[in-house]
Amino acid sequence: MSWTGVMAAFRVKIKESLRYRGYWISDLGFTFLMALLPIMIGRGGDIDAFEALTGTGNYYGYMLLGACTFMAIDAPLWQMGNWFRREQQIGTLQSIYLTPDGSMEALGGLALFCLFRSCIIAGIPFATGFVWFGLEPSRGIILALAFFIVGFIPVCGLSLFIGALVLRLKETGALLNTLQMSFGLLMGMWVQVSLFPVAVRAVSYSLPMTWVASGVRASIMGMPYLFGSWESDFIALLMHSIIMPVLGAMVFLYVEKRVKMNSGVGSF
Amino acid sequence: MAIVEIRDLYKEYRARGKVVKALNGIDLTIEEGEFFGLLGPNGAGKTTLIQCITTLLIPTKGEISVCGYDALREPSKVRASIGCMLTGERSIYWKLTGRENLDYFGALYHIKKRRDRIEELISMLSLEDFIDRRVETYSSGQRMKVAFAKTLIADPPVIILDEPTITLDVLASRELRQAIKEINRNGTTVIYTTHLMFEVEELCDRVAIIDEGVIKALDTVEGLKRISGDERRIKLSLSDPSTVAEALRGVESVKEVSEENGSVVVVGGALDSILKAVLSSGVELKDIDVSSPDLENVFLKLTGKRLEE
Ligand SMILES: Nc1ncnc2c1ncn2[C@@H]1O[C@H](COP(=O)(O)OP(=O)(O)OP(=O)(O)O)[C@@H](O)[C@H]1O
Ligand SMILES: [Mg+2]
Repeated sequence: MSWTGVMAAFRVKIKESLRYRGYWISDLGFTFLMALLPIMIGRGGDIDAFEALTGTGNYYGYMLLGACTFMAIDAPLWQMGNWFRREQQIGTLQSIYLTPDGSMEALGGLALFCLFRSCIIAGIPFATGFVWFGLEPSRGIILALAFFIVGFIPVCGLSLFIGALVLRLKETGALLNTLQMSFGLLMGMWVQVSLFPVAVRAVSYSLPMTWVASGVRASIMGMPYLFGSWESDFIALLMHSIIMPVLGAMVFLYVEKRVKMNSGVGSF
Repeated sequence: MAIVEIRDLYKEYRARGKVVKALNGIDLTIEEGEFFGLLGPNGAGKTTLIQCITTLLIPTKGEISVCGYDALREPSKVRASIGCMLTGERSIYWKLTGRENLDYFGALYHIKKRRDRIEELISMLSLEDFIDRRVETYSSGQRMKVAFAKTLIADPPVIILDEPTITLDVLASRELRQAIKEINRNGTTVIYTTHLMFEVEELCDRVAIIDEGVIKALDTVEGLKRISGDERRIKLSLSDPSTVAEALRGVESVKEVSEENGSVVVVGGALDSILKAVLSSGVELKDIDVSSPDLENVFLKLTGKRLEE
């Protein structure tokens, strides 16, 4: 495994993304849309009810932050799955697997690319919305960033599960879409996680995205943290960033081996 | 010295409850510097064998070592020792230029002086004209050239090519074969699969004939031809074949005489005595066709199948 390989993979992803016409524009547009939709539909009911529910009176801020964080932190999951599928279909996955540690290096490069991409496609709408709605950060943006950056590690770990799923099942389009919607709901994009029934909440807590979304909203808008304080939420996220990558790698390597024992990673 | 060793290799595919036995006990030793051919019809197991050697597949049973590294225990070292072209044009990124492809794969193979190596390959394979264009704008032949350059990027001790000329026209395929020969002359071991007889004859030091996952024969091209009997076949078109056939049966050292609608096929025998016998029979000789023993016959004899139509 070499850093040169990772960086080369990162550069290739950037180049490719610039060459697919409309790649960045459509992604940015989609994030804006995600943020604007709930805002345009408008808040049902009055602001007091909303505040009582979420702990903040700032409905616009809540939705905007939610959508941006969702786009930023959730995208890597699907990027990884789609990457496998696409490379398989265009035929280059085999070329990658022919190199000494290319599969790991390419995934590393992909993770870097996702981080970069997330910063752009969430950062721009976020900054725009911030100015537009005249939002004021009630607490540290730095803390929110810390939640976001640290949260990226377990999300990459989780994305290895998705990668394994695609390697194993191949045609996963419909399944991935369903998962994506469910994850959006579970991580509390539209509804506060604390309102879920206990069983569902348990599932939510096991997703790293939940902690990032909540941490970002809480630290910027002064909403309550899931476990009461930023420290305890942050520790929960740190636990995720240790467990998820290890678990993800184990599952991925296991599935990869099973696939090689049958028809190989290249077949589609 | 052996550079690739394969012992008792089996590979089964399972698809929807059915088992396909693609390799059934392959034993093979390939020597350093050798140009080794794998000749077999569709579905023989050539690609499967290559995928096992390159660690893309884990065999059901058996052992493989490359440059002394075991494919199961040290797969990255095995991969680092091999340059492999499997899917041809589809093995490179079409959205990138040729140079960007070489640079990317150079990085993944951990090449130290990537720029220099790329320049070297560009001039060696004459890629100057198109290397800085995107691959999607290339002709088929140009894509194959860049895919081949990718195979060579790490200057590996072993290169493996899976039917590399299959999509190329006569000229491009001849060019590619020339380049491969050159690489081999400089000491690189080449493993080359094909179902084209003439490629094997032109290129290979030794050839394994593979069919249904089994090696049916392994020898030099000359050695293999001897399997079909070392005999020349002469086909004579005659106005009265049976008279001549009778006369030829008496000629010294003729192995076999058979009649096929209007002509006689003679196997073996000295050319001048055969001709003398024909002329002295007084029968009109309309046409004559002489063929030396070829691999097609060997193949037919070993597998009961034809390689080419
Ligand atoms: N993924 C797979 N699942 C099931 N069977 C497979 C798979 N891949 C190959 N096979 C079968 O294994 C056998 C060997 O196939 P292989 O591709 O190795 O042959 P080949 O010699 O490369 O043929 P060709 O000249 O057509 O490329 C064939 O019967 C093929 O149908
Ligand atoms: Mg094949």
